[in-house]
Amino acid sequence: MVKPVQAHPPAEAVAWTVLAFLAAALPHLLAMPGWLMLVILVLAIWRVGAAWQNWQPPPAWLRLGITLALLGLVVIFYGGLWGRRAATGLLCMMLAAKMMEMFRLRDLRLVASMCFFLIATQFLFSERLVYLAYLAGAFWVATAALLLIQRVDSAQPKPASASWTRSTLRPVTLLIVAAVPLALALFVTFPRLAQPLWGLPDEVMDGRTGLSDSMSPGSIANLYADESAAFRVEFDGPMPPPAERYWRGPVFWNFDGHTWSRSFFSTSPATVMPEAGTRSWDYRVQLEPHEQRWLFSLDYPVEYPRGARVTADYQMISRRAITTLTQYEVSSNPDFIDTPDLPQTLHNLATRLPDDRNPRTLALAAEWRERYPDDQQLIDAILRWFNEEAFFYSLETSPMGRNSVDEFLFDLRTGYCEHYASAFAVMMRAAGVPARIVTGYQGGWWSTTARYLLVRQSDAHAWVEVWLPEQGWTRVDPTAAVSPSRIREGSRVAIDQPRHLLDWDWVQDLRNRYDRVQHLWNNWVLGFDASRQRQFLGGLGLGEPGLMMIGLTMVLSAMLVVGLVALLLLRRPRARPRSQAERLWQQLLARLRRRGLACSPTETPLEFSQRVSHALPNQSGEFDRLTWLYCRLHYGTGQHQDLLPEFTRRVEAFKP
Amino acid sequence: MSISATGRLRGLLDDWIRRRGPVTPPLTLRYRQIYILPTGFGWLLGLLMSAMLIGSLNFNNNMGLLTTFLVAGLAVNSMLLAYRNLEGLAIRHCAARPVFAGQQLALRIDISDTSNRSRPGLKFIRPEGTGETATAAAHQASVRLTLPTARRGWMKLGRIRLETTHPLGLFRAWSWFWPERRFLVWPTPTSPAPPLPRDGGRQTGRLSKPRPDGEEFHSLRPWRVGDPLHRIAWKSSQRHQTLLSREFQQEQAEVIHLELARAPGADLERRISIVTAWVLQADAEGLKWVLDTGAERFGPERGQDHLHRCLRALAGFGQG
Repeated sequence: MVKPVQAHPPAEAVAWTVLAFLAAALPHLLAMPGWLMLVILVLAIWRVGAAWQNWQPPPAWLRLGITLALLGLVVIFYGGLWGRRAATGLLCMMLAAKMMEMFRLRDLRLVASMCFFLIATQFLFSERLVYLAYLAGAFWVATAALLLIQRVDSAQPKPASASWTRSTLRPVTLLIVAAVPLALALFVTFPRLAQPLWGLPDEVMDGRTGLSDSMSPGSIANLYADESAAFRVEFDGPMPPPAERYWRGPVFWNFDGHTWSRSFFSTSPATVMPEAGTRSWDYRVQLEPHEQRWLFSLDYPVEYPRGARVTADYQMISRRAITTLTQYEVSSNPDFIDTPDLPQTLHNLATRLPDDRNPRTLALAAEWRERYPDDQQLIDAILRWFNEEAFFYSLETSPMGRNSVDEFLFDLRTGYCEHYASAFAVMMRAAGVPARIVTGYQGGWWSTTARYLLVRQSDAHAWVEVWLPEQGWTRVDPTAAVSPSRIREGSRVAIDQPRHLLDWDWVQDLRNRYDRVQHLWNNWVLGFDASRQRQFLGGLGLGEPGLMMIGLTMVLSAMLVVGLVALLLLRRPRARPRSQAERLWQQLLARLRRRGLACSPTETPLEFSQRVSHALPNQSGEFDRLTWLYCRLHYGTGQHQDLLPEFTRRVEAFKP
Repeated sequence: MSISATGRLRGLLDDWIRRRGPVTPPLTLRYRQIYILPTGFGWLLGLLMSAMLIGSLNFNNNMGLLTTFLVAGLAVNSMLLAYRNLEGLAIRHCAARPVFAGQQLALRIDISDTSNRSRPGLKFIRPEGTGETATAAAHQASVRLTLPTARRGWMKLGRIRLETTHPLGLFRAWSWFWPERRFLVWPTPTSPAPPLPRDGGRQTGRLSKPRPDGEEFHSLRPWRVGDPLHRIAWKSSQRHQTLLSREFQQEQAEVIHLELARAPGADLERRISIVTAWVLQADAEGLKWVLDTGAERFGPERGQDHLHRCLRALAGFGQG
């Protein structure tokens, strides 16, 4: 039995649809395991080849088989179908499988429209400014594909003479440009949800760098080369001096000899809430998504966002993982005394050390404890030791063995902040002083023009808090003793090792400038959430708008914008004068019309001229000449262009 | 039951459409004559947009929202553009040459543009909804729509639908109109037809054998390829500076009487078919004939006009 040969859509429409798919899938493909990307590319290229060579689609059983195999591949590579990466990977894969049966116009349309969806899913992973270019590009190609498919569908002959610019570039661009006003109006006025409808899966993805919920040697040094923004801060009122810009993140209590980790205690809520004191820092943080739940604040948060809570060690924790750019306002009181009385259980927890690790450190700590019975003196002595002995602040560390602190303090003496913090905390604990590790960020780059503080991943830091009677938990930063410039001027100054190949000052300057644009983008576009929307619409004079009010504003503004666009689209194009002579003639007619002599559309210039001669007898000769000139110029074969200056002069001089 | 119900609904719809404004050419399409709804693909994209919207709102993802709203803008604009593609289009008139029943009626629809726009992807769909034809952007164009015919007589066409899904296939804008006139469908001639009733007719004049070239000089006409040399009127040609041929006409003495009532055939339709075939045959042979339908009598005469009158009478016979 011979199957009837299907009429395949033309290669051009297919090629554009495949291109639209690849453009929309580009960032997904780059984030995929290489094998999956290869499979998708092969299928896409096969489809384009099929369009060119007129290959037939594979039989149904083969298509089904391949589709199931692809599904299996996704499950194997992602370990399931749960999670954003796996879901978008699956979407890409299924669209690639669709390539095998994309032989009808409706399939082409389906794939082209799914591209819009694919574009939107990319923003679950990143909403940085560069992706605006991706949005524009991929959106353009998908729209162009839809336009070409429509042309095939309505059997429009391809204009033979029209260039690509006129036939595709212009109409597609116009379509998108005309869509922008409504998109913007809806963007501003569409009511946002203050609370999500359903929860988000808490998952770590893409090996995104940032602080983690444990600290081992090297874990913070790894962030040194990462210049991406961690968060940005705008201050209302005074700003703390650089040496006090400690952004508190995860606090670690447990030490197993190598790694510091959180304790059960870190999750319990604070029993004593800090209260506003004489000094306070008020600021707004714009936190880049880091897939964890902690928020950063200066010590100690008095007022904090509603969706967050404060733990017993005064760390702010969000209810949900931070998966999109998040803004919150905090007010901190730096003078709050954290836990003046330490319960015995916590005292034990904060001095516990593994017995069989780091014997040399334990011995040294015991010896110094005898020499300095006072806690403060002991701390000063250790810091002095760090400062005066040949300790180096550097990224170059060797992998540490079982007694990591011993190796660091007595053999290597070279390390990054986590080495110093860890060593210091261990010595304190060995001397019987409660100590814990705090990780977070220290410092930041202040943009004087845009007035915000940019804190980068490379500003990640670790320091120590020791508990002193009466004073409570007190911050001690051993890194400051080793490398004071790290605290004053940041890690880039403290370490004279380039982060990457392009680590020059002007590159850094360029990055800072770019970050200012990114900051504006974050502020005005990404950070435009329910509260900002209320604020913005309220500023327009809507008072404190409720949901109904915002909805009404949306409907009205959308109607207004659509009405304006419709007026623009539906207005009747007037026949434009095509030549200079015609333009001048029109001017002449307009002048005569004002005198009550209107040229009717059915009147020829010569007929009109006769009528004018009757109405204006003393100017009839002049007008006859004008008409004669116009007829030569307008209807002539083109050899009378030398009459144009005379015509121009006479038209200008003619006063009816 | 259900058929009559649909029929009645259809009648109601037709009445409603007619009430809304002019629906027969010549007419210019304005908002009262233009209807618009999403296509299947449009609904699909709407579904996709809702999914994008809910997802982006839930994840508080502003870039996702921006993408969704851009698609929404695209959809709204394609609705406006679909409307614009029809708005201001003038349907001048519908015309068709008569055909024999069973042949395809080629309906010509003349459209013109009143507002200087290109109008890509217009589709005309005939009443039965089976055939369609498209025309490209045209300032002034005529469209040919072929319609099947089944019965002889005056054919009244139903609604013709003019639609477009320009520019992205998301929305379908359409208009309905009724052709302003009825179209003639001639009866189908039987084939093979019984021989012409030469003997049955009364004879007047003398019998003569038809000769291909005839004997009687008739007129001069411009020379055509194939005319024999001896028929060129050389003198006249020189006078007129162009070659002229003499045309002769056979002297026709024979008049054929075709009576509907006396034609063989079981029923009226059959007889009409046979008479139609005779009329055509008589015309092809260049004979003079008289047609008597019982109600009317045509001839004796020959030629195109006579033929058309006869065919029209036969087509409309018994239809009032």
